[in-house]
Amino acid sequence: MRVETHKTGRWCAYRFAQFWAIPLVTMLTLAAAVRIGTQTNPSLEYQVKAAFLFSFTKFIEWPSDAFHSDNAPITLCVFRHDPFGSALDEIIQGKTINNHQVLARRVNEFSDLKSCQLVFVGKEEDKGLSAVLNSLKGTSALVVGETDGFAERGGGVQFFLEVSQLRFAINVDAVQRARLTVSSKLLSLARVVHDRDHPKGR
Amino acid sequence: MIGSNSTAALTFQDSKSASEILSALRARLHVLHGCIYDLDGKPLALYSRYPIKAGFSPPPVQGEGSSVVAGHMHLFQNVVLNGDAIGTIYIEADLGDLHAR
Repeated sequence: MRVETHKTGRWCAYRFAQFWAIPLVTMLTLAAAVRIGTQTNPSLEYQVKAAFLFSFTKFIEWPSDAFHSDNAPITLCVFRHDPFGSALDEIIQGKTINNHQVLARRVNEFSDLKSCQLVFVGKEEDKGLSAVLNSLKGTSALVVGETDGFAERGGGVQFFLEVSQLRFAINVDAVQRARLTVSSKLLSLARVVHDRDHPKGR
Repeated sequence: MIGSNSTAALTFQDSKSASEILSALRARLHVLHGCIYDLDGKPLALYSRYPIKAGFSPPPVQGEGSSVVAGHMHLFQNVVLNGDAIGTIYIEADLGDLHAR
């Protein structure tokens, strides 16, 4: 997903950042935006969502059989349409969680999803959620989305906006099926949700 | 303990959760004020034992350490997650009663 930086673009981004003292992620994203040929600058919403995707990995434990070796990477996958531009790549650059390097990939085929520890299914791909969940049955992938009802339909985590704050819902049934251990600190921030047809579900 | 409890609230910039975490300070009778700052030094949540009309104005964030001024202790402590500093906790406590014994 990386493209060479154009010299003028870098200068423009530097002056812009100097003026506004924008945090690092946004600076890098602006630099990416003026590169020739890359995706358009991801909105602030997707910069924050990218940061949250990475942050989830700090509060979740995958079972050891979710990795093919002790130092296998944690792979964050984006299913087909990718709204993040370079934001996700930049946030995870050089980061490790519990000795696992964090990587980001874009996945187009259902059969490739099995190598992912986290799969983001954006609103453009929402109709594919059932098929994605089917492909991931028995695995320990955390499936994250952003549409209404995503969590109740079996997704693990669903982003939603509350006033101006990005929040998330966690489907505790889905997370349990995936044998994921979610920190109580993360759960206490979330709106807890059950499967739609679970006795406790709405 | 406040520090480790606040790692998620700080990571996800959840001020409501951060406030709830600080309200646990109520159990510590000598704590007058508390604040959780994010990495930019911006207060994410505030706590005051006694209501203040104008609201509590937290001091500018500082590095780790404590000081005693006029019988009050002021303590700054880093919040760390995965080896990275992600914010700061501030507590102001009244040492007066302890000295009077």
